[in-house]
Amino acid sequence: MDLTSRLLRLGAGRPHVLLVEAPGGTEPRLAVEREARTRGWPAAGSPADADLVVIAGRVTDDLAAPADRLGRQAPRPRVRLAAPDASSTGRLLEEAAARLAAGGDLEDDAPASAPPESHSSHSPTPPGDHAGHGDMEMDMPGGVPMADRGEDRDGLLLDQLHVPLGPLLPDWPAGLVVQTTLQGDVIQDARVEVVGGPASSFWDEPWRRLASGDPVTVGAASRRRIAGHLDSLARLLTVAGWADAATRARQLRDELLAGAPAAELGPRLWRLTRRVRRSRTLRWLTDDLGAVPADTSVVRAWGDVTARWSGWLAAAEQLLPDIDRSDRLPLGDAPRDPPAELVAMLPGLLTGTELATARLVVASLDPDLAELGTPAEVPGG
Amino acid sequence: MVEAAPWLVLVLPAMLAVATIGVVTFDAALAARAAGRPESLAVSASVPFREAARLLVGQRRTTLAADGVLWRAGVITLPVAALSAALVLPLGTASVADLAVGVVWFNAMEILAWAAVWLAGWGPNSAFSLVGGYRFVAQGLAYELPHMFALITAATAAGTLRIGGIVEAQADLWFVVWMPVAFVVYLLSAAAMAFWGPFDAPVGRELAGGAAAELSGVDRLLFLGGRRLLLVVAAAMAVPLFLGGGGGPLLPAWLWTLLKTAAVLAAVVWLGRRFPTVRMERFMEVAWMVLIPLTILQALVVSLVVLVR
Repeated sequence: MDLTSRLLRLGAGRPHVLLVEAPGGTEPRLAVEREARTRGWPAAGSPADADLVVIAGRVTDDLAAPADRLGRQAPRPRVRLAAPDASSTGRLLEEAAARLAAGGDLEDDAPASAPPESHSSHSPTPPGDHAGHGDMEMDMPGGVPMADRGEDRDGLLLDQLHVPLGPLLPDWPAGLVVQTTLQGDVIQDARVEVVGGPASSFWDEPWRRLASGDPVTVGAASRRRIAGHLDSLARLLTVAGWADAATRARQLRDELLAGAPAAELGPRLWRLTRRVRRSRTLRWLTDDLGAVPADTSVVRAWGDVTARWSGWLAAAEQLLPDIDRSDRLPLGDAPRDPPAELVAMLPGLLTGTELATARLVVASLDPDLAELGTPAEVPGG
Repeated sequence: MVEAAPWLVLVLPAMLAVATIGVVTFDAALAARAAGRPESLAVSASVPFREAARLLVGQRRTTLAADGVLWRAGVITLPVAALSAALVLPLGTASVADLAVGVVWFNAMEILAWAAVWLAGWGPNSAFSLVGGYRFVAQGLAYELPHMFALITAATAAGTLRIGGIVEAQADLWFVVWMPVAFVVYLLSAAAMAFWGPFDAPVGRELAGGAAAELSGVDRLLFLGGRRLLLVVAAAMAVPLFLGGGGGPLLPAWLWTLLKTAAVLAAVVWLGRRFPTVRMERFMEVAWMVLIPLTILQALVVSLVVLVR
């Protein structure tokens, strides 16, 4: 056994997993997150850091090109995985790690000769496999046009970059694309698109069953609702750079969905909510961000980012005593408001923010686009 | 008494490498505990080797229209800066070079990190990398002045810029006792200069890894390894500056140095996981309105004590 294969095997024992979600892929995403966490495999934040590229959910036609690009941007050895549903996720990951130890997948080794779709944009995960080909004219290094210029908020003439955020970005609402115009790290203009739908929302499943006439217990509905809030919280905490608290939230979310009783979960949920609520640093970092006036019809968007995550904590605590109830959910109990209005308010909230703030605002609204009907260009951009 | 021992240059890189491996191991153990999956020391200790292995065999990526020379220069500068700064680091009673201007040398070398991160962010022609570079420069503007005031406070109390002299001046009383503000600010700025949590915005996950967003393979190993090396060196320098260097009862001086360094490092790594990432748009105000006045006040008090004594 030569040195390279030894190193491959050693490295494949702890592969970094880049996990992105296509609309409707919540359930497989949760399964992959859980399996990776129990194995101690870290989450990658970009293709450059990834050994396994996993796309949870069904890749629709409009997601095929970004999904392919994402896989190609990971350095070799790499393994690309599709997890269309939540079945046998653990085996899928084990097999992927074994393939990685053997040198990764080779079937995608055809050179990516076609230039990336939009040359003018520095995509959030820029082309990795394109070694600087193309004509080297002075104004088009590598075939990329130079950045435009425009006045920034202080009236200075600065370069403008057109950077899309999403659709396949970790810790980002599935199917959401925000086309930004950046000057420095400030978003001067934001346009919102929705791709990859329609799908049915995992978080609204109990209410869909209820509507179709199946009996649903109050306990099952409460579990799903709290788990949804914890998932949003975990995503926000990850974006805020607080990995340990985010991991705790994910762990509680998974145990809740697996059916752990309230007596066992209660103290731990309470510890988490207390820890997050008492973090002055988190409040200091999220106060006054993305403020939505309280006259908006979408109640869950009211207030700033702090108000929104505080709302999740309060709702989770309030619903917790219900999770073991076995009585029927009354007909007419409605799921959350559809997210169309959340998405429509995004451009206004994101314009003028710095990138990190923008990610926090999006995470705090956490629109579940699977709740939305058909994909469409959202007006108001 | 700190003596120059040029032979240490053979041992120093190995010791720093061991400390860096220790940092990765400790961090991995903390992450495992947070995930409710306490793992054995052997598993945690395998993490740095697994990470290094996957990066050694990993493909080095290139990006479209990258500025290759500046990009690689930035990547290699980070570990080089950390190693250069370590030349004046005393191990017990010996350091590679006990320069007359040791504090200035250390400060100059660590500031190379600014160039390193900026170039590494600029090079790959990627928006997220570039923003990571911006963020580090902004972070530098926030932490560097309080950091320099903290350094100068220790040098003022000792009346010398020589690291050995600063250690000798603490023979009776460690500086941390009568300049606690400078010590705390120094530790904050040590984490900030190594863009370690909670000051990790330049390589933030929400920015797809920021300045490291496009790095893979050996480049990533050098950059992220260099970052941990810088953290080790910056934390280790807190020992001669504020914690009496190798001073302590019973044990030999070199062992005291190692023990104190390990304690400081463990504290910095542990604290780094306790808080969410601090954004400079919020921290800048604290740095300039609170930390700079506090460190100036601390320097003033120390200067008065030196004058009166």
